[in-house]
Formats: sequence, C-alpha cells, structure tokens
Amino acid sequence: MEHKLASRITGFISSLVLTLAAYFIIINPNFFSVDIKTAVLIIFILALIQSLVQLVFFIDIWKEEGFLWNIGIFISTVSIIFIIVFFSIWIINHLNYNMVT
Amino acid sequence: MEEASDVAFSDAAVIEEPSDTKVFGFWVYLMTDLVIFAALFACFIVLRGNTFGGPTARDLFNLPSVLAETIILLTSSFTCSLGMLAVHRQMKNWAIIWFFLTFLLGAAFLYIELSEFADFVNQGASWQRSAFLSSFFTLVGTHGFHITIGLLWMVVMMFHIALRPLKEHSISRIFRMALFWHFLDFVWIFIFTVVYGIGYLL
Repeated sequence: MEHKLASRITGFISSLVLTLAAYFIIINPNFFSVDIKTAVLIIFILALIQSLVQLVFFIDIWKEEGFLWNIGIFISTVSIIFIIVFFSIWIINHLNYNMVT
Repeated sequence: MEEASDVAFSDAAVIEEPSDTKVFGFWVYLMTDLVIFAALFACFIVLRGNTFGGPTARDLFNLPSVLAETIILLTSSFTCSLGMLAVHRQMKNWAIIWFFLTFLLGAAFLYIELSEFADFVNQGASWQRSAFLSSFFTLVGTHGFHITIGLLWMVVMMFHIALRPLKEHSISRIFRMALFWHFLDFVWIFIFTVVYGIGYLL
C-alpha cells in the first residue's frame, strides 16, 4: 500500500477549486450567458467530478485487498441509487403532468 | 470447563478476523447508508417545490455560510487523511494533532449547521411548515447526525491512539473511522450541489 502526501494535497486543492467554481456559478448563473437549466447541469457535472476526486484521492478502499469486491458493491449501489432517484423523479413528474387538467 | 472458557476469552486465544474482511463489511454498511441518503435525496427533489405558501429555498438559504460549511468539511477531510498518513508512519503525536484538528473543524461545521437550523426555525420555517422544509430538515439533519457520530468516534480513536500501540488491527480501526469521515464529505458534496445549489438556482 502506498500512502502519499502529494496525492492528498492534489485532492484537497482540486476539491477546493471545484467547490469555488460551483459556488461562482450558483451566485452568478448568467455570467457565462447560459440559461438556468445549463447552469444546473454544469454544477451537477462539477459535483460528479468532485465526488470522483474524493473517491480517488481520499477514499483509500481501492488499494485494499479484495479490490473487486469493494468496487463491485460500489457499482451495484450506484445502480440502485440511480434507479431510486431517477425513477422517483420521473414517475412523480409524470403523475403531476397527467393530473393537471 | 471453566478453564476452557477462560482460554477462549483471553486475549491470546481470540482469533482476529482479517482486517480486510472488516473493512469490506464496513464498506458494505457505508453503501447501505448511501442508499438511505439516496432515498432522502429523491424525497427532497420530488418535494422541493411544495412550499405550501411558506418560504422557498431562495428566501431561506444563506449561501456564504453554506460555502463556509463546505470548505470546512473539505479541509477536515484533508486533515483526516493527513492523520491517517501519520498513523501509517507510526507518528502518534502527529496523528493525534491531525485528528484533533479534524475534530475541531467537524465541530465548527456542526455549529454552523445547527445555528442555520435555529435561524430557520426562528423565521417560522421549521419542519412543520411545508413538505419542502420537512424533506430539507430530514436530509440535512440525517447528515448532521452522522457528523455527530463521526465526532464521537473520532474522540474515541484519539484516546485509542494515545493509549494503545499502533498494531495492525488498531490501524484498521482508525482506517475505518477515517473512511467514515471521508464518506460524510462525499455525501455533503451532493447536499451542497443538489439542496443548496440547485435549490437556489431553480
């Protein structure tokens, strides 16, 4: 197992940069002359990159023995989360749409 | 008979589970916790607009304090990883210093979050006001509860480092505590973006 200081510092600085970038877009959504929907998409993509940064640089589970078990349960959890969150939003929005008269 | 049970419970005879098995078990727990958070996120996103004539996200959220909370939590994640590095290098004093710093940052985070909650309640925006606020307090409150547990665990681990030798199974325990703390940071990223960011924009 390798435990490097440099990767922690890289992770810390990139996480701060990503947070400040997302914050800047939240308070000035019109700065890059994009509409609100695009601004929302951009900060969500920034959050996904940020979560990858945390997974790679801070959550050390990938270096342990049994890498395949750990990543296997992680991927299946992400699939369950996708099913719960995406389909809840989808179903409720369609319910809402179909009930408006 | 009595002698046999004495042997079974004495320290030498206890067969430790391999550390990797414990880490895997803890990882499975964290993943189920992630599913709980996912359900609460789905709930919040669905109920976000149902303010029942009460204050909206835009009226309530104080973004600078949320940014402060986020930066504090990211920094605490960094100091926690430095503490873990010190543990791996057998530097007890540095490990305690870094974990103590992490503890202080976590306590500062919790303080800001609770004063934000108190502020909302004083404005009449408690969890009873609307479906939006119920789902908001449930999601962010569950995260805050996890932070509280993480802080308690960190205190226990600081005593553990101070009083016990840093053998393999101790390191594995401290590693699991650090994993928990990074996991809370991971969840907060999505609270920052989905609850505060998208809640403010849309």
